[in-house]
Amino acid sequence: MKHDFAGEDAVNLEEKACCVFVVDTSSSMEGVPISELNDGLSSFTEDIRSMNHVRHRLEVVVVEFNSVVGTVVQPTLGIDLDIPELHARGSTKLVDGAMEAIRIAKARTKWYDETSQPRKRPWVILITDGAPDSDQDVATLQREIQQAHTSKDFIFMPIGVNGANMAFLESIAMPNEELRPRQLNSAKFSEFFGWVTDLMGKVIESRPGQKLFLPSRDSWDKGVDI
Amino acid sequence: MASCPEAEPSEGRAPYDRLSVDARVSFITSLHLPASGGWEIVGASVPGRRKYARRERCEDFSNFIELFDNCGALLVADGAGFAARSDVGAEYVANNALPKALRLEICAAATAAGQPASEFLASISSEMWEVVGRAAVKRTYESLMRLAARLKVDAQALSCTVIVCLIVQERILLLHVGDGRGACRTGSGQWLPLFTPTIGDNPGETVFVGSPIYHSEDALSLIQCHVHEVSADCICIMSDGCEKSAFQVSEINPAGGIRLLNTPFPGFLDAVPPFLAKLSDDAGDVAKAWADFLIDGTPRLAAEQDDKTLVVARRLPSH
Repeated sequence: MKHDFAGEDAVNLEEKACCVFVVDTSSSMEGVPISELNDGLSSFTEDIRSMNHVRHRLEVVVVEFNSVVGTVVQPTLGIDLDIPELHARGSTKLVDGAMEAIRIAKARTKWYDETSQPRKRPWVILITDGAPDSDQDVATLQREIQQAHTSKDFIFMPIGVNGANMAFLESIAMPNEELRPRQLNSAKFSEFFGWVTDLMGKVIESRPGQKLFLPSRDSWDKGVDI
Repeated sequence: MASCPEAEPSEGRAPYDRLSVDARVSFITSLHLPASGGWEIVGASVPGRRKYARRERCEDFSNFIELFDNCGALLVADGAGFAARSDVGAEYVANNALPKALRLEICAAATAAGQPASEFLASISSEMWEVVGRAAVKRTYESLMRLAARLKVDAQALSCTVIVCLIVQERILLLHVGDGRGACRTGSGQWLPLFTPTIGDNPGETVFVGSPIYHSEDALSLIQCHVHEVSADCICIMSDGCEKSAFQVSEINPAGGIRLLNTPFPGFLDAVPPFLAKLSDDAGDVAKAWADFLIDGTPRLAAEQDDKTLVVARRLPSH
């Protein structure tokens, strides 16, 4: 027989992990892709809010890019997470979006360190179905990501949806087999965000010096045609 | 001078039924003190979240012993994470070495003072409690070294923190090495911390029984001893796995950095006595229910990765 405890837990600082989604909301995402993306983010929010060992420790950020870049969710603890519906329009300022996501991830890390809060390395997850506008400074983004691989500032994971330019994503990926770009069918957004939920749970439970093994991607990875 | 009859050496005995199911310890017992009436003591040590899922052994241990005829002692030991056999060390310290050491040192001091041990404890000064407490920890460390030699391991492999809380009439004698927390509720309903934990700046820097700290005065100061003249109706001592539920331990300093706190949290602690009363009234297995509560009774407890121990002494209404 379970007995109900009428007390409440004290509010204390917990070790933090930060996940920054940088998502393509350009016009090519109109229709089914943006609808599936919104459903996936909604499921992710529900899952994170329900996980005791995650919701007080995981901070989530959502940056969108189309013709402009905007932060639709500032760093928010899982328990308070609420992601607004995204709408597709405009072109693809992918590099600007990724750079803004990286800036936020680094600023958050700096704040954790300045306030002596224990924290994990942040994750920046790029989701795009295309390639950047021609006026975007790809070289700077490449250098930023390569530098982060060496200095361990953040972990970068590119995901290509439907007709994404995978060669471009390869050119900005970190030199780690586990972090190479993967192809995602837009019909599998829910499975993908379920996978991200599992991943973040593993990140939070990981210990310093331990190797992190990513969950299986079979439920959403398009794989390779042979 | 008469010898102290209570000092007869004896093997550690378990005054409770130790549950081996699900790798945890839990107990319930009662204590009647001539001056302060009846107490119910409930305690449990359970594995942290990941260990519980894997059914791995808990490295915390807890115990209750009756010392003499006017004193009960609550004990919590938390095995050091870095130490290979800290589960063995924690159980040995809380179940065997420290209870024996306390009896011996209290009796020796009482005999030197020409008093029976129970009278001696009822009037012991802060200075004398510090002498007795430190001697008991030093004797416990020597016992641990002998055990380590028998097991062919280094004493540090058996390292653990320890909290001992003696209830003596209307006072509390507290002894601790390392981290963990303790609090008592006064007659006016206020929760007071019983000690300040010794926490290193970096992981692994907490002091332990097993640390070689007994060779200088400065190092001995890490064994903290306190006498609280307080008529408490509830006392809680815990390993650090429970501290974030029951205490506010840190907050962000608006001026920058983090401010460490040691503030008992009434929102949790005030709910403990009526919860235990309900468990007792429901006439089920209170010890098991208390262990179940520590496993996942609140979201914070369910999420906790560290092993969890919480021992509660609740003063019973007089009839």
